[in-house]
Amino acid sequence: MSSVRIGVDIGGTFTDVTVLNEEDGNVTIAKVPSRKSDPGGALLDGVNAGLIAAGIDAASVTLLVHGTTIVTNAVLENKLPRTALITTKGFRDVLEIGRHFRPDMYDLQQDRVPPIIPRNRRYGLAERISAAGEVLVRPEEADFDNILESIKADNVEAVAICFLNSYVNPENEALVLGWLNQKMASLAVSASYDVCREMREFERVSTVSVNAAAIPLVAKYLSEITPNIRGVLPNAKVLLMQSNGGSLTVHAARNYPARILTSGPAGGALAVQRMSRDMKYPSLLGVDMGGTSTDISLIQDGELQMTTEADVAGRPIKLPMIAINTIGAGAGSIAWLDEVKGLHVGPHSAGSDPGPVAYGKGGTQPTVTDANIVLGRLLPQFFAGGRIELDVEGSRRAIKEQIGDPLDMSVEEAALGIVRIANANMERAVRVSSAEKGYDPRTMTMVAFGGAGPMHAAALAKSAGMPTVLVPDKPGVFSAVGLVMADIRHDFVRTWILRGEDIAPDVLKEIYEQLETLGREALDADAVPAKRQRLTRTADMRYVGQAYEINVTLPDGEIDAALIKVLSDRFHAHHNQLYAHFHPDKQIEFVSGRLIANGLMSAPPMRQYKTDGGGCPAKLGDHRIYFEEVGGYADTPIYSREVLTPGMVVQGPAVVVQLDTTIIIHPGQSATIDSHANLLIATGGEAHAR
Amino acid sequence: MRVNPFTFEIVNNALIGVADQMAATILRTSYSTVVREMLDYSTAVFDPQGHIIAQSCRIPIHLNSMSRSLRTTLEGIIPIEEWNEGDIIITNDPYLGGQHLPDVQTFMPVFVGGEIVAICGTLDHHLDVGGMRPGSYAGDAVEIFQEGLRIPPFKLFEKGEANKRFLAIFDANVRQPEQTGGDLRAQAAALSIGRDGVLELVERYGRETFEDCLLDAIDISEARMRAKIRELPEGEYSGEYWVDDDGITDERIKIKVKLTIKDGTIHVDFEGTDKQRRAPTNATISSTESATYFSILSILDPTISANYGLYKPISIFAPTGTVVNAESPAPVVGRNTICHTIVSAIMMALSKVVPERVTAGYYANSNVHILSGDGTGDIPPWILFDIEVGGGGARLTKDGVDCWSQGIHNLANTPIEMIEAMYPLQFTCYEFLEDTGGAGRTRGGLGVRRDIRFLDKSGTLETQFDKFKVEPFGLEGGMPGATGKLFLNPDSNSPLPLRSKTMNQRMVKDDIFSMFTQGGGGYGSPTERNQEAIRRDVVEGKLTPERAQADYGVKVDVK
Repeated sequence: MSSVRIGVDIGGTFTDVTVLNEEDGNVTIAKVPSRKSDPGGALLDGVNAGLIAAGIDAASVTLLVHGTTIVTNAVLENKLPRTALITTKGFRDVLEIGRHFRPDMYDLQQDRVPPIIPRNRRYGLAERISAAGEVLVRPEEADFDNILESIKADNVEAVAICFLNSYVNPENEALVLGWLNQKMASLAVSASYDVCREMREFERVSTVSVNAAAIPLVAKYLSEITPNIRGVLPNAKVLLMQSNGGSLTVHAARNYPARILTSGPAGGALAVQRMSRDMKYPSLLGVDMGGTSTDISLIQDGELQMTTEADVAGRPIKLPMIAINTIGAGAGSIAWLDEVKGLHVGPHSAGSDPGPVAYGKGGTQPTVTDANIVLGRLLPQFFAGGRIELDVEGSRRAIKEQIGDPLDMSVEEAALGIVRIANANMERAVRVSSAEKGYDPRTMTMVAFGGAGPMHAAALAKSAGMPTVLVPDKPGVFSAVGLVMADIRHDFVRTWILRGEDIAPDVLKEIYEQLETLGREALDADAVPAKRQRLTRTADMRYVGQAYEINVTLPDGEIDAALIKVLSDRFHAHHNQLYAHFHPDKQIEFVSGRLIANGLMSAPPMRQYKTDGGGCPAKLGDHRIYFEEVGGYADTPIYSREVLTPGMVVQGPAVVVQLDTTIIIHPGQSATIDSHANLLIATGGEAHAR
Repeated sequence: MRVNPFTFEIVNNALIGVADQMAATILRTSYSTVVREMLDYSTAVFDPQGHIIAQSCRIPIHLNSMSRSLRTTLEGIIPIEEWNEGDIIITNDPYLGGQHLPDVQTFMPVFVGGEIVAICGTLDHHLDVGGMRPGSYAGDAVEIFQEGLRIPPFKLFEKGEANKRFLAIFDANVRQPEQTGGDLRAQAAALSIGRDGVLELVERYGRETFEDCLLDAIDISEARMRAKIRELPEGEYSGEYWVDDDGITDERIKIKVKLTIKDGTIHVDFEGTDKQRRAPTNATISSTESATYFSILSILDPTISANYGLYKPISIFAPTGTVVNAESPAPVVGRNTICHTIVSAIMMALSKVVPERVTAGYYANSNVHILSGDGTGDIPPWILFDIEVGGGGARLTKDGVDCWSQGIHNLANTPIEMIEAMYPLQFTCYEFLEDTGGAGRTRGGLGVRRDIRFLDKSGTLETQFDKFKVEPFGLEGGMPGATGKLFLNPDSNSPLPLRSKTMNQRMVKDDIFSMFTQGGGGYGSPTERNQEAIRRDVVEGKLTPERAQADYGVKVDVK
């Protein structure tokens, strides 16, 4: 019997399901509606729908990977369980004061994001560790007991612990953690040294507060779903998707729920990475355009770009996450004129409720979707398989009255302007994502997915100078495909500042041996056999005096002088790549050692098709689509994605419709279907090469 | 408009992106905590006439003054014909368009076809530029010559070659050449990134379209600004506010402002403002202009693209020889105090016209404090420059924000763990100060207490605080916010109150420097405040039950 993995990604509107056959790499997808009040129910619906769609026996499922937004939603809506903070006496407001700069320079009406834990639940405990790690004041148990009394009286469900300088020496945090576990075992507890052992007190306390507050929430959810899953899938191990592109066991997720905060877009990035590895594209840029936002991810040399400086709704989360640049430009972004008739698109979105004017659900402001309808790019008869009726006249009227007439332009010109600006907003994000990392987008291939990505990608890529767009076989559920590929992953960090000569083999060995022990312990706890454990060592480094570090991967092998030389050479080169300058004569500072502990999953092959089909596909019909390139409407053939088989070539202008998206191929462009059933568009976007 | 509105929107946004990319380069590669943690720096793109077109989201007081420095340079000192490809012009001269000596500006031309199409600029607050006190913030300076190295505009780089002699002079005159030199390199690197970004835009859209976009950008902001001004009732509106003192004498300093709104323009007249002081609490004209532009933009419509166009409908008269248009050789390092007070005076004046858009009085000062070690102990001399903020003023419908950057600056705090790892200092407190927000229908934001223990053998403390005597004002019956306080060893048997502007205060091992920053003013009568809001403040310990009773007449029982 073959072994099967199921991925279930619960999103705001839909739950995406992926069923992967490990032997032949065959992927089946299914979609069920999400249930806001009962995510566990949607999970089971999804599993069942997947089993039926793939026609497989439940007993053959060996793995269920689950992506959930329950933590993200709770943080966004500020509906986390009641949580207290125990911190160094005199510093209980660090969590609320934050870094105290404002995101908008000129807006006098803006407010700070409210803290996860209000002031009356933040307790100061007399204790102190010096910057050198010396225990200056050890906490008194009597002081702790007083705080615990208040916490008990307040019906608190979770407690976060964060002390100053605990990243150097966690002794005091560990002591208090022990007292809490011993005296009130029912509380969910999380200590900062255990969640993110890094310098910068505000970012750390913010992270541990979110983590602690999410524990009861996640524990409850997991205890509800686990028996139900066992009932349906008796042989499946359950893993959760993390923001770092790896998966997490149920056991670990209970302790580190902050790690699953932005797992949704992570699935998409991971799917792009797999594309990169399997298909030998070293550099890919993922563009996942949905209704309200677009997520941009970057794969360079087969590796995901990571960050530890992400935030969720203005709250810093100092954990390694895939660097995903999310911008408020989506299909639902609203187009509007300012008082001097300047045209803007977004950041406000009509979302899915009321949605674009065309949905006829009460939306009155024109959106990017309405503009695409006016231009003929969204075909009413094929939209969502024809299940949703589009009010084409409504779209035209809104754009004419609100944009075209005031600007003295035709409705098509106005619609084209909206699409161009939406594309330009995305293009800026594409440039920020790549250029800020020191990469040239013109050397990369764009992977377009999400419901709206493939409609905009060909024009977007051309304008960014990117020669090729790859639209995967199932772009609408591409993110869910990433889920089932994820390796188990734990990240560990140890800040230990060393300068110049002090960066010596013996200390680095000590740092990494500690980390490797933690890594192996975590993987052993996840029951990952030794031969499937992979440990990767990296270092955060900078020039002495700089504040921001660059993460550099250590070569494999024994840590000796030669390895350290390679490490510093890599640092100089990386600095040069990022900032276009480097200083080989300046002293380097080693700031933190990091370890990525992976439990490797087998990588199933991508499905291969023969490409000998060739020829021209049969069209479904023609549609009038407005293109800037021809200055008006062009009769454009419509193709169904289902009939496009490997080897076929489609000349632009053309529109390819499929259940989950619409692909636009512009005049002068052409597309081919490759042996993995991907659609590759040659954008003609090489004109700007340096 | 010269350009298709869509192309314009795209190019204009891309230019802001260029400024942002320059800012990111500085942040990542700078050395001093002033730049890399406090974010006291700015980046911008200018047209060849020196008008600002696009700015990064950093420090408003910098951004709206950089144009004057650049224009002064272009008009009289280094005319455009003398700029070459690869040049970088440097200046910090407050009397040639700058603000104060630590703010070092650099500019680089972007050439296309042998002609300049744009100029990129950066401004960093440098940790030290020499002068009589570490950190170049001498509160007892009476002439600018005591404040540090003054650099009139000249070429730091000529055709790509650094002027090594100047760099040697610079290094020889500053206390921490390693850090300031590193920051200067980061500024140069950012300029190259900015230049490349502009070049790419020109290549893409063509020079003519690019240049037309710059002109359109100015016209659009000007038109939007005029339209906003026209919405206001015409008339004259006055405000008057005060600086505590200049630090050398005890006399307070009056800032008087009269705004005349007429026919889509605003004239701002500072007649009646006090004469300049023989102390650093003076502003040169570019600081005054910048504070004025900031105030009017943020009150009228913060969404207008901040560029030269929005300055055009605003005219300013600042009598020479006053604290808002000081003449050389007046020292000017404390210009922030004047500028924040200008913002407050303008808020006060416009509160009568647009009560829903202004705020009550805020902490209205960049609370600068500089701790330094003199090297007599075990470690080499060091300098920590930091600025703390206080409470925001209440808005018509919303409370003032507790301890949040307001007004002409926008600074981050430096992480305590970062400071403790780098300097012989240890924090003992960083917490809100209860009861410091002025009572009102909406209350003022809270000030904060921040205490630092000095662990080196000996050194000094300099401060430039204000609003210790002048209260952050309330509006429409709201009560003023609490004034600020400074102490040495506050919880000892002999606490020593310090003046707001402390000079050369000796620090020895285990001394504790303690700041109590200012709260914001309230808005509307306290009797109209929502009972639940009062209760929540008491529960959170932001308001004591005693003051709830005294200010609001409400008894809140919290067990």
